[in-house]
Amino acid sequence: MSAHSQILLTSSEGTEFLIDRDIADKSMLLKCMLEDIGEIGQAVPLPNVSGPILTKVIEYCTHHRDDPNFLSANDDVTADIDEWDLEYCKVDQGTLYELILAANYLDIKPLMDLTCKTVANMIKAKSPEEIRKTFNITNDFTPEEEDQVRRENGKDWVDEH
Amino acid sequence: MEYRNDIPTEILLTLGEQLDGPSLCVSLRVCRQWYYALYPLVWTKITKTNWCHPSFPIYESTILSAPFNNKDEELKATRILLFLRHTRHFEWKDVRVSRRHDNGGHDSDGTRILVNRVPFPTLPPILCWMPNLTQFSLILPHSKPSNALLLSILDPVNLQNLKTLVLDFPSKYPKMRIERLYPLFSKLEELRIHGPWYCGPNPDSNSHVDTEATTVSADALVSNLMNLKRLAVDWVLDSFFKRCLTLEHLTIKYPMIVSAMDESHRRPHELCVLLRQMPKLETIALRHNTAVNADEFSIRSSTGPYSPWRRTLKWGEYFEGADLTLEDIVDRLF
Repeated sequence: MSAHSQILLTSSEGTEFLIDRDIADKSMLLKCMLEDIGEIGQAVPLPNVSGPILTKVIEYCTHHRDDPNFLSANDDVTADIDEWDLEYCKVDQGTLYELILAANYLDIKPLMDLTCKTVANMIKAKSPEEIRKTFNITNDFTPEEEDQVRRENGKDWVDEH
Repeated sequence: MEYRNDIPTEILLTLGEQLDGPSLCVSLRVCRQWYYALYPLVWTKITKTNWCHPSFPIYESTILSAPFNNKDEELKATRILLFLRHTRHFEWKDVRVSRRHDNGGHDSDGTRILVNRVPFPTLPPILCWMPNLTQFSLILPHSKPSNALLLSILDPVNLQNLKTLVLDFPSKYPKMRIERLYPLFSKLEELRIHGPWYCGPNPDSNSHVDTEATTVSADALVSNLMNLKRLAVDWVLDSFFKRCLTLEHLTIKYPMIVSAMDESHRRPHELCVLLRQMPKLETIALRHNTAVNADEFSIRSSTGPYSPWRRTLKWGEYFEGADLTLEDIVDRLF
């Protein structure tokens, strides 16, 4: 296998992306697939990922191309997000959610951790109602259930911090 | 915009792991899906401030085991055990903090004392219930517990999946020989010890040979080889360093305290010889004793005992400057 081989990917709309093998290898899904079946010279269809999102994902993998600690980069949840990554995540919420889904599907753990960490920072210091509004989630608890969950996991915890 | 009540569970779990305790508890109240997905994560990370918290579930370890007096007790135990099975990070400290407590202006005093409700001796049974613990931080109480108790807390049989251990000894802590902990240390990837630690002749063995002497047989050395990748210590223990051949990152405080209880007074040259025996060592971080100065990092890009080092400002980032030898770095310690 040549070190400079390239892989062709197709996004959900059918747009083709030609990327270097080492970039593709950042995705565990692609890496395992390429190792299992080899490079067959055909485009790999990614029906769950749109073109703009795939562009964003490739941008991330290209920036972290030579990162020796790629797989453990975001393990430390208390560590601050680095400047480039911070800038990278400044996208609208819909895009951020699509990125999380793509990172999960393509199995790129550092990108998944980074995007989830960004969302986690958005959740901090918000009330349940504010979180529902932010993520457009309906409250499907019955009033009794909601009351019980609040009692179990409620105020005394939060007030201390 | 469509409603998102169907976020995949694995995404919610990754998100939950990035949240701190209070945010996690608030998140449980968002909707049913979040509640069921995130509920087991509530005590994934137990920090030292949790121990004195009013809603911390583990008040006494005795309630965790049968016989239960009533159904409620059994339910409570089941709930706590579910939490503990998911606990991966665990930090214990003998906390005694007073906090300003704002109670809508009704509390005349406004201050209350929070006391750790889980005393040190109850830790061994609690650790038995945490099979997935990977990171354990223990800030030891000032009154030294018995060696037997400490060893039962740090028992490798309970800590099957432990990868990272942080031990914080108070500065005037009585002598504790670290060799007894080698069986646990040998399973770890990362070890951080703050405060004094000692090696030396095992008090239980009848041999009084100084371990510093080269009479230690090769077999004995091999049986206690470490697999550590990261080590952070306040000072160098020769006999321990000899076992750390897989080390990749080392953090030491400087200027290095040379203890009278240590087996020898380290000389720069001897330390260099030790460090050259670690083929994978790529980062040395020097942390100033008073912590006034930022850490100094030195890294090397190529392996080999005599490859040059570079000073850096951050992990993994080169800093333009002259190449350094290992001796240059080690000299900073003394």
